[in-house]
Amino acid sequence: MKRIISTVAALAAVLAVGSSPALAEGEPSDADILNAKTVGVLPVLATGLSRQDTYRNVAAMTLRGLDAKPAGDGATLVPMKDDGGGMAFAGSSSTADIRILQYAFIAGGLASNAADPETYKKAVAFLESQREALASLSPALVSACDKYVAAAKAGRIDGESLVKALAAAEQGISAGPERAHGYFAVGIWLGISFIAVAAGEPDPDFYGMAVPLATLLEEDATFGGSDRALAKEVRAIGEVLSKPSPDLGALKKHLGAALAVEADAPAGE
Amino acid sequence: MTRFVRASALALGVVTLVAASGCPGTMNWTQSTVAIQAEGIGMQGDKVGRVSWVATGFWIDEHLLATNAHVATRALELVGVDDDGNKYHFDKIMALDREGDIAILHADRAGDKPGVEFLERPARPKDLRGHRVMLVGNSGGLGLGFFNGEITNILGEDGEEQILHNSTVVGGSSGSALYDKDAQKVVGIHHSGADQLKTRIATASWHLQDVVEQARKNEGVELKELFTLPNIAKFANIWGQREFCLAPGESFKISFNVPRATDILGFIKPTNPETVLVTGLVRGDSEILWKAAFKGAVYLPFSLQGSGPHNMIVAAPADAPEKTCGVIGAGEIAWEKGIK
Repeated sequence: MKRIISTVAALAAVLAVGSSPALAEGEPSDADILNAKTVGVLPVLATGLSRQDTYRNVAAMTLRGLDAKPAGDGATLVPMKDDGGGMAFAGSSSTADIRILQYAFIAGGLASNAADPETYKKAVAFLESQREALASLSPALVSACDKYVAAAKAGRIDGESLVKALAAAEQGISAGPERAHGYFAVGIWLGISFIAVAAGEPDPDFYGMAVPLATLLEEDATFGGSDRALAKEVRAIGEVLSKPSPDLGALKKHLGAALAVEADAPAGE
Repeated sequence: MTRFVRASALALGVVTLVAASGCPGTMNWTQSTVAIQAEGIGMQGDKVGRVSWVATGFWIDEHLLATNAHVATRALELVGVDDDGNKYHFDKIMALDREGDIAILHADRAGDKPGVEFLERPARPKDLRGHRVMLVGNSGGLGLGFFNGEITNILGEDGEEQILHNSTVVGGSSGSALYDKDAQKVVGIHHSGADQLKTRIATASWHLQDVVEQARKNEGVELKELFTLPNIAKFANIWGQREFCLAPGESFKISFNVPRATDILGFIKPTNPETVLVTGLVRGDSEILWKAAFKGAVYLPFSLQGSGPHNMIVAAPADAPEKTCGVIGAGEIAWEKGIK
């Protein structure tokens, strides 16, 4: 018989937080832990010294990547249509979700279009025109996006706002609506991956976000179906970004696969 | 995913120990180094007990010693012995920089040996690639040994650089000085290895000097005052929390990735204090590090030994009588908040 917690009972007392735990009978099997059907996931994207410091590190990485002038042709992976179409991926998502994912991906990957002024201009115009796609997102996230787009319109990639948007998306997954913020977080992380490759060095704070994001897509009941195929590519991109010299070709291959994941067939077909 | 492995984990394997005679004769490479024996708290959910470990440190000046943050964290007693058998107790912690994995300790008496000399930051730190280095470290608790290698790369910038090197090391080398052999000065403080990158990692000496400067301004705190159970809750940075509702046989998980060995605090607060739930800490997809059944609110501290993806899971047993709701959350313990 295993008891929780001889020491935690004492610990809880000294922690002065909440009540001490009651004792439970019996030790759980591994299957009780591993085989239970996961219905919810809280992905923690930023650990480290503090969430702020970790996001600050990622922001610093984006600045290094921007200095290296990324050339990933991000927008060319996603035909920018106003109706949310042009992106095969849907998973279990609605059109609104796709539009959020599309917006976030274009925003995150905007720097990769800087070498092509026409495409860059088109991408910024797309972000401006699609602001309504952000309607279901938190005010903090929308505010970060607005600031980012305003800077982009002035010809500047605002790495700090980009990372603030990622942080706000993470908070939004907890506060809800989970799905909308989850799609935004995945989209912007995929977009920023261009900058991460351009930075030229693996950044554990950034590539470490891949597994929690993939776990959300794979196991949270809010997601499902083709989201799992997307999750596989997110994991693969995390692997690419963890290599000593991340490879743009490999990244684009997995991004292409991620964005080509097709929507689930409607139930009954 | 790259897994950063704490160098302090005691691993007595076959290693390459380079004889002192292979080094320039003008330099006493061991004089500023001490082998550290530590005893402190280890946390594994319901088990909070005494554990011991070995590591390395080196003198900054006659009272201050540098080692790794993960060496000093949770230590209640730190004893250092140099090559001549001189013994020191380090009872105060003056600075704790977890990002650079640096701790600055205060000795109970003046040291008998001089502090190290530091290599200043070059205009182009990457120019250090290819430099021959030697790490002077505790050989798994058996005393000081020499480990040769070279700098393979420099990552990061703006004074926050990390030095990748290929010196062969053993458990107990955490906190070792990494010397530039030609300059005969410390270029970094060794702290970990990355399996996927097949490399060892040290924090650059110029960042270490910044932490030392801060340490000199601090009042410091006694180890026994800092690493206490009440401070776990006081210094916890909560990453997030979320409500769950579980039918029998269902689970909820917090998925997180730690870039380095970290102390964390998980908590679960079921709405019905009489319901039996199960919980576990899992590394990767399937390596169960700890598990238990419980009723009522629980607060679970863990000392994670390595980096990488982890899951904190709460599950309703398959034979549970009804759906159960509650809140699950987790965060990490930022001990540095307690440094005065």
